[in-house]
Amino acid sequence: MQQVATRPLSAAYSGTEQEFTDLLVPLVQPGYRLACAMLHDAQGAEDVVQDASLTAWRKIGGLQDRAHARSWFLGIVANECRNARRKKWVAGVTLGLPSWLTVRSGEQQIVEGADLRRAIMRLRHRDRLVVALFFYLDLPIEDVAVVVGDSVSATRGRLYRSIKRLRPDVDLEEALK
Amino acid sequence: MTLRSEIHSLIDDVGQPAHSLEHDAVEFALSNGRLRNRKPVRVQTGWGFGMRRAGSMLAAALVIVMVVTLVVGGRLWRDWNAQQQSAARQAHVAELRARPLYLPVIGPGGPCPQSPLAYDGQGYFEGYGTGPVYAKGGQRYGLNSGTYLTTSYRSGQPVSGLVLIRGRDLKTNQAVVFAKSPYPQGSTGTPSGNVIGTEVVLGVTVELHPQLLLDPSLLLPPPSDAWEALEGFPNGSSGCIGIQADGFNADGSAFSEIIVVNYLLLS
Repeated sequence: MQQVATRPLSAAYSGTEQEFTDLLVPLVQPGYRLACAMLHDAQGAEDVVQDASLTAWRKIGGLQDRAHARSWFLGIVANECRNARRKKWVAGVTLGLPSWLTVRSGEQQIVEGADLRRAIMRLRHRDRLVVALFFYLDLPIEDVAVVVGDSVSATRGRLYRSIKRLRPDVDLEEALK
Repeated sequence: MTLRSEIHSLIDDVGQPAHSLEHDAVEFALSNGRLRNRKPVRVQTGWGFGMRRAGSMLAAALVIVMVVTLVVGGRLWRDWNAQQQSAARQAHVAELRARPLYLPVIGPGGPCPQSPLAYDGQGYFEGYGTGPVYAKGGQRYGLNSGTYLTTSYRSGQPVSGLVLIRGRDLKTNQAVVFAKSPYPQGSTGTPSGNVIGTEVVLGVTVELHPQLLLDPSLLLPPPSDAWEALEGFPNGSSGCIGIQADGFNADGSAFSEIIVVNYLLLS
């Protein structure tokens, strides 16, 4: 399982620009990956990370424990993603193929990927967030729960329901690998 | 292929490496949002995203422009049309008002030259007059300022445009006044000219006018195809009332019809 690289942070944040930079830099790529997973739009994801960084700078005083910096920043990114999707006029993903077209052989995988992508994008914001954090950022379910702001059991239930929406026929144990 | 690896593969396709994003993000934050670093938009799948976004925005802008044009244009057209119709109506009324009154003057002891009764093809009484307009009295009210009579006007043949009704007492020369019927049973006549007073009829205050307009566009289908209004004769009236109806026939020829009713005979 790929782990998000974070520097051990234990001291409370003191507020200098250098300290903020040291805090933020290791969180930018995880934030970007989360934004890509949420928006499926690289340019939009970069914008979201920059907006989230600004929000983090403005709210850094509220961060009590630097050990929670990653969850805190990913939560901000998730919130910015929600705002970004609200601002979009059209939400949707297309590969340029009409929906009725059935393609087999070499292109089948692309089409199936498009189906999965559409299914992910159709998930509600929090469901998609749980899926992205668990499957793409490879966070343990306990950390996912912290970012989402739910209990672990509620987050696990949300994850299971989302998996069933993405792959109705899949075995849960198999899907959680 | 597991769901996890599928999702990784899927999103890795979207999220191309953003090498300078750490620098950009820190700079954007520490500048308090003033220095946003944006890469040139990467076009996905050929025409893809940028063109679609630009196309969508252009289409949306065109739709907005069209809607605004239709709304504003429609309103202007409606206002202009209403203005034109109002001006034409005023000119038409002014032309009718300009016609002289042909009502006779009857001496104090002279007989009242009552108009003939008119019946329709089926033998039903239409009113007094020689056509094209007939007048028929209805409910009578004795009020403070005089006697008021609910009167129905019917056109026995089609008329073109408005018909102007004016009247006076043929012996005393007192002007007849007109008001809206407080409880009309059918089509309504339109009192016209300046308000010259008010009266209370059946608990309803009505405005008194010197003229009445019969508007064919306000005429309801049979049996309500008669314009109804209140006619008022001031206290001291002789009851010999002359009404002049001015208008145009369907063929465009002008008519001025005199209808005389002796209301003393009706009481």
